[in-house]
Amino acid sequence: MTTEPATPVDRPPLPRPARPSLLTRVYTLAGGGVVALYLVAGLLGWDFRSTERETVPASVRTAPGGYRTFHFWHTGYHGGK
Amino acid sequence: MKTACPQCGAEIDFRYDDSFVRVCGYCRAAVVRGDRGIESLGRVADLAPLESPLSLFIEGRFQGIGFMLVGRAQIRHGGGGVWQEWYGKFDDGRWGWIAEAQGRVFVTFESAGAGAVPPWGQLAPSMQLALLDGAWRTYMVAERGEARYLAAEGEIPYRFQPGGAFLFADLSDGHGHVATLDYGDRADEPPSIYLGREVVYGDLALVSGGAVPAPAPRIASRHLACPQCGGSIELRAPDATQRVACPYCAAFLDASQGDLRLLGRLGKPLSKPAIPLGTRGTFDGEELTVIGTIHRAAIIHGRWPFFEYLLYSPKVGFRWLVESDGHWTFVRPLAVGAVIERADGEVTYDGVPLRRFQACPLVVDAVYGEMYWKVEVGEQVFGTDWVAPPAMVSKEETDSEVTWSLGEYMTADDVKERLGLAELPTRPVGIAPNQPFRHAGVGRVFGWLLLAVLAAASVLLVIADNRVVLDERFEVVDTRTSSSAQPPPGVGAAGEQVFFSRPFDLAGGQNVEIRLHSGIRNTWLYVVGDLVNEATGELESFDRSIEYYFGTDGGESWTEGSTTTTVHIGAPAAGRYLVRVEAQREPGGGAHALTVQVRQGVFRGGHLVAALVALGLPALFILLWWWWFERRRWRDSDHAPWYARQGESDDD
Repeated sequence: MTTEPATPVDRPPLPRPARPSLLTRVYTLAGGGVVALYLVAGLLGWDFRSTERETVPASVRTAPGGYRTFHFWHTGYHGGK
Repeated sequence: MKTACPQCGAEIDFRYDDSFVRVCGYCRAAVVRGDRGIESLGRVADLAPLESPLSLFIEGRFQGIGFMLVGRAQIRHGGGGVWQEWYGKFDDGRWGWIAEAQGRVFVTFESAGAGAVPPWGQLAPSMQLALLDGAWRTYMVAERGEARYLAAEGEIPYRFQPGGAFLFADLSDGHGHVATLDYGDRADEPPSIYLGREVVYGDLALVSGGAVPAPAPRIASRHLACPQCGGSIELRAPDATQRVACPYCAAFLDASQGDLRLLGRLGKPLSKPAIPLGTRGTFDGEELTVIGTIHRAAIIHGRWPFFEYLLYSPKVGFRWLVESDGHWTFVRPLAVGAVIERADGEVTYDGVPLRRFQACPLVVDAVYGEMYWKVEVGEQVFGTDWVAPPAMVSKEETDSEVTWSLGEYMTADDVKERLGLAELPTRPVGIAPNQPFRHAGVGRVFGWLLLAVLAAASVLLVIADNRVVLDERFEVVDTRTSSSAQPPPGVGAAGEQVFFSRPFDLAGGQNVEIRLHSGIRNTWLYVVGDLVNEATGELESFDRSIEYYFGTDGGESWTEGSTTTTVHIGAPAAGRYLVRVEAQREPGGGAHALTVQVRQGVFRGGHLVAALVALGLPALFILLWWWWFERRRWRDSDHAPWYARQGESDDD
């Protein structure tokens, strides 16, 4: 014979917060995306720093004296302190 | 045992040897048998028609033991209200008490040797008593009161005195177990102790012609005329209503005697209730009807009014909908003893700690519609609230009774939808004590994302190759010191010096770090570089300056810049590469050594910082928002937590 109450009707469960707000869901999705992007970028060797990619033809690279001429390779820079 | 009624002579039958009283079915005399033979205790009143699936001689089974209901009594509570007790003869010879009160059902059995209890006068609400019901349980006194026998029928297992009063105390352990201490009319005598539990009708396995009767699903209302103005007043809970306010003339009426009797007149209401009486809505899956409204006020540095709407259905009994400053809370009753009160004044319910918000007297200012107790204008209790939004646990105490309730915050839109109302006259003002901060989940999500990003960083740190594929040193000389008109080999017209590294191999799918270092002092070195794919001619170009200055100023040393700089390049295609470096320098001084080191598969700490910032900035914004929200919530509390007390003076 059981001695435990089958239906303690005057002991309702404590109300808990309702489903997450839209902002919480958006943050969860965006944050998950940030973590995923961080992990994938690390695994695949992606980098987001800007370097300039260009192609210098072999004729330039192998031309006599051309290797040393800045403007053959680049559009130019002059700076320094 | 069959005998003749001493009142009318009709035959009456005591079915069981251990029953005390039999109510005569003809003249309604309470006939008792005792040492002095058969005698009448007087006529009992007619039974009031209370809704119930139970009836005389119905059979059932409880905890595996069969029973039959052979008697019942109706009893009036000292504070108003009538409850009904059925007496069941069980197959194991025991008498069981099945009590129905305000939609709730309790089964108890008399228990000799359950433990010692104090006299009635020493009992107080919330007092704890240990009683033996199979195992020792701690019960809490919910109420200490007086009641009076009203009516009865059938066979009664005790000396039922029509109109007689008795003292009692109700206790609960908060887990469904209940106890009643019946002191009779002697407060100092040891009471009869009844132990049992709260049940639902289904637990009784009732059998009636093969079908289990169900409670009536609708409210049986009654219409009575107001003795003051003659207006027709609808009683929507006629079984339970003790007080009713006439909606036409504001007369305050007693509804406990079957008709309406004038008690007085209500004062002018402070404001109009937002929900009309008779409005129906669905809560907890049941249709409830608004049958009354109380206008109360919390007395704490002034009067803070609020409305309480009494909801009723015969199936679930009474619930409340409370409106304060336009905020709504749906309230359910709680068993006394279900809430654990801690020594520091806080409480725990359902395993969750709740924080004390406010404690103050509560006063009834006005009444509308029906109430199930003898409410009076000016009636005062002491109320305490604890919150864990959206939940609020409340305790209301008087000298003779303590009641607990559990509230749940509801938005105004939710209330309108459930009640089918187009509009509510009040709009929410400020933050309610149990109003949840809707975006609190962001903090928890941030915690999980932080763990995830740190775990990912750990993985990347472990698998990072950090492999050196080139480490070469070049001398950058001062070309201006040359006396020749033509620049020397490897020097451009502008004085830039060009170097090529030795070829080296790079793997695919791994990033590249190029580290430039020079041990210069108080000067600069400017470098334009290219990572050149020998096969395709593709190059990744970069430029960096290396500047390092130091000195003393006002006796304090200082430094500026660095002798090392790095460049990171995303994973190139696998192949053979070289680095082309073009360096410029400040004229003067000796040669500067420039070291070019190329690594592959390096851990990018900068990416980790960027990810943490991307996750943390929105979370920080939400944290500040939550802090502002909590400060407003706790502004009216006398138990504000530390985080809500900071900077209170500049709020609003």
